[in-house]
Amino acid sequence: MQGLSDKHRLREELIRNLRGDKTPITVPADSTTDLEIVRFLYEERARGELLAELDATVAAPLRALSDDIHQFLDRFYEPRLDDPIAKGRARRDRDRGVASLIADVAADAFRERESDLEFLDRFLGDLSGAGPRHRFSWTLLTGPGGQGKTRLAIEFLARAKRHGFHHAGFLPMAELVPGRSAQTIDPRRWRPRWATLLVIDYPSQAPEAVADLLSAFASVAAQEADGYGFPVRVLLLERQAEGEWWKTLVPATGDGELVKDFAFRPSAERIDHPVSPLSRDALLAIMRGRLGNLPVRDEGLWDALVRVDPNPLAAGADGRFAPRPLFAAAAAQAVADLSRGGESVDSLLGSLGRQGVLKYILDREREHFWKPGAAGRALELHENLLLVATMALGLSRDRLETGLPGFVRPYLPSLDVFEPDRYQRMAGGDPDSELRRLEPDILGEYFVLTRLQSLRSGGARQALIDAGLELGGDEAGVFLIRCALDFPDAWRALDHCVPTRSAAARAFAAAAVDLAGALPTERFDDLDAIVSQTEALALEFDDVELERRKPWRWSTRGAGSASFSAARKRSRSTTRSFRGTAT
Amino acid sequence: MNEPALREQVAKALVNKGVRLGQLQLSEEAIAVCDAVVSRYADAGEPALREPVAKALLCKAIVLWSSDRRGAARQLLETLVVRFQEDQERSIVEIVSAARAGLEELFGESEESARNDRA
Repeated sequence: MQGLSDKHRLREELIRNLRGDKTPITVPADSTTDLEIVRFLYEERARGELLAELDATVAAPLRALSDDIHQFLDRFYEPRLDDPIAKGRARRDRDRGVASLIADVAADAFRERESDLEFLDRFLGDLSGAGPRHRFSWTLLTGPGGQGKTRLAIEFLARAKRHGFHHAGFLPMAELVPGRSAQTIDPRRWRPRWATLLVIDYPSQAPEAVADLLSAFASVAAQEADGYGFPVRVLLLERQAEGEWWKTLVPATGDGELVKDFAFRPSAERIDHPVSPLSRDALLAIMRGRLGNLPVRDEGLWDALVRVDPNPLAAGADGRFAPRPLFAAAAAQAVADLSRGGESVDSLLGSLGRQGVLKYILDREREHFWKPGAAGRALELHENLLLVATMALGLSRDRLETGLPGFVRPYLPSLDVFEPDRYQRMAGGDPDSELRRLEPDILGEYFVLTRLQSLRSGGARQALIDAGLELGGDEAGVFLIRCALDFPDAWRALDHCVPTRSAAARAFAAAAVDLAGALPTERFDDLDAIVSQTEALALEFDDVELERRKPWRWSTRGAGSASFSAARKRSRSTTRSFRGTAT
Repeated sequence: MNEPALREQVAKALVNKGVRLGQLQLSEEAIAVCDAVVSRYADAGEPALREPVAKALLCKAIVLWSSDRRGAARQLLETLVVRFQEDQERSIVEIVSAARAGLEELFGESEESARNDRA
């Protein structure tokens, strides 16, 4: 029989429960318990069992609903696309009231691109009759830096929008490379809600991510039944369709063949479309646009331009030399500005050189946009940060908070010193989420090399080189290769930018392998130096982290194929020459 | 040298250097670099290092051939084929196939030369 104290406890527990404190009732009821209480307990238990049963019944559909909601939200994810000129740099011009070389590019004469645009129009294609398989394709525009690929793509974006590609723009690396930002595109799950055109500038920066994107898009599009509901186009802009990045993009495997199937080619023999060089008239039109009404003869302008950009890579299809539009605009801008100081235009044109133009443009950017309001070492520290970000081909903003190696911190702005507005004026973009590199890339290379040369402290110089290579990894290796090819003297004067730290050595070694296949034969001394330096670094470091890196990653970056094919060609030519001798 | 990834990079860079020296007609220097690759990495088992070794052998054979040392070139190509013919790595299969093609050319030349001699 239940004692009085138990009855009392049972009563208290029931009262607590009725008041809302849903603790389990520990005192059992028995035959002496009041009938009302027993009935209450019975109903409570029945209600609890019913609720548990209900929970079990709805749990599975709830999980399914939750998955559906996630999938639904995924479908609504749209990659954040931007326009490298409209955003960032253009905004700062409005703020400052001073024209920037880069922001003003959109105002330069845009001529003789009919054949390029016609190719791109065909690439977009007639959308009306396209089945799912034909709703994805990609293409590659090639040309040396400054040839006008980006400008062409920007002009084409407006054209694409008129053709119904309402979601069209440049895909930032932060949206593409996993880990670079909070949300990146998942190419296997993303489904377009509009006709979409993604432009990827310099895919060699992240060949694995771009390869994954193309391969995933191709796989989805290849499924006839549920391919893309809207057309998707990917336009790649790169210097040339060769090298290790290219082998990663279209590997000699089934995946690579599938990706190639979806390439929009200019012809059966060629996979890339080289951006055509501009004629003398078109280049002079760009220069005259910058010079305004200044009196100057065409011959004087042309001679100056050829001196500024003596780049045989930009030779026209007819074999004639064709300087690049970027240098036409830059040279003319320099002359237009300097002539306001009273010096004659002819004299200015006569003294122009390539590095002089780049220096002028850089000094001008520094004076008008970077420097104003900088206190103490602020400008110096921000330039160092821009240097590291440019070497790394861009950095996530998070790096500034947590990812900076200790050895370079004294030379970079700390969080309390960092000025997003100043950095935005230097490199554009949104410095609250990303630290962009200085563009166009030739100006970025020149800036990095001259900034490094100007540093009086060897320790600072080395720390910045190491940080750029370490933070940028393979991307920094790509940057180093461009510097070596575009500014060989400055690169050599910096002892080939050899690092002193293990993580940085990996990027340098990868660059060394590619350079050993890319440097002209007459630059054998450079090749010899970097190979020796790579050997020395390999002897010095014993980094276990390297062992965990996937072997395929390294095997795709090898020197092998380029030199191998060269060796085979040589083998064939040797054979031919011996045959000739024998007969 | 203990560092695996850097070791691979060094091996590949050295092979490229050897090829470049060969292109510059610096035969002895090219051969020395190829020999260095073979002697350093000949015992390595990993595919990433077998490939540079095979390439170094092929490169040296081509340099010898170009320097009119056909007998030595032929011997080296035979060594390459025997040593790597079982290898299934795609890149090495290609190198072996190039070496076989070279051997066929050399055999062809020998037979032609013998026919000319007989004539």
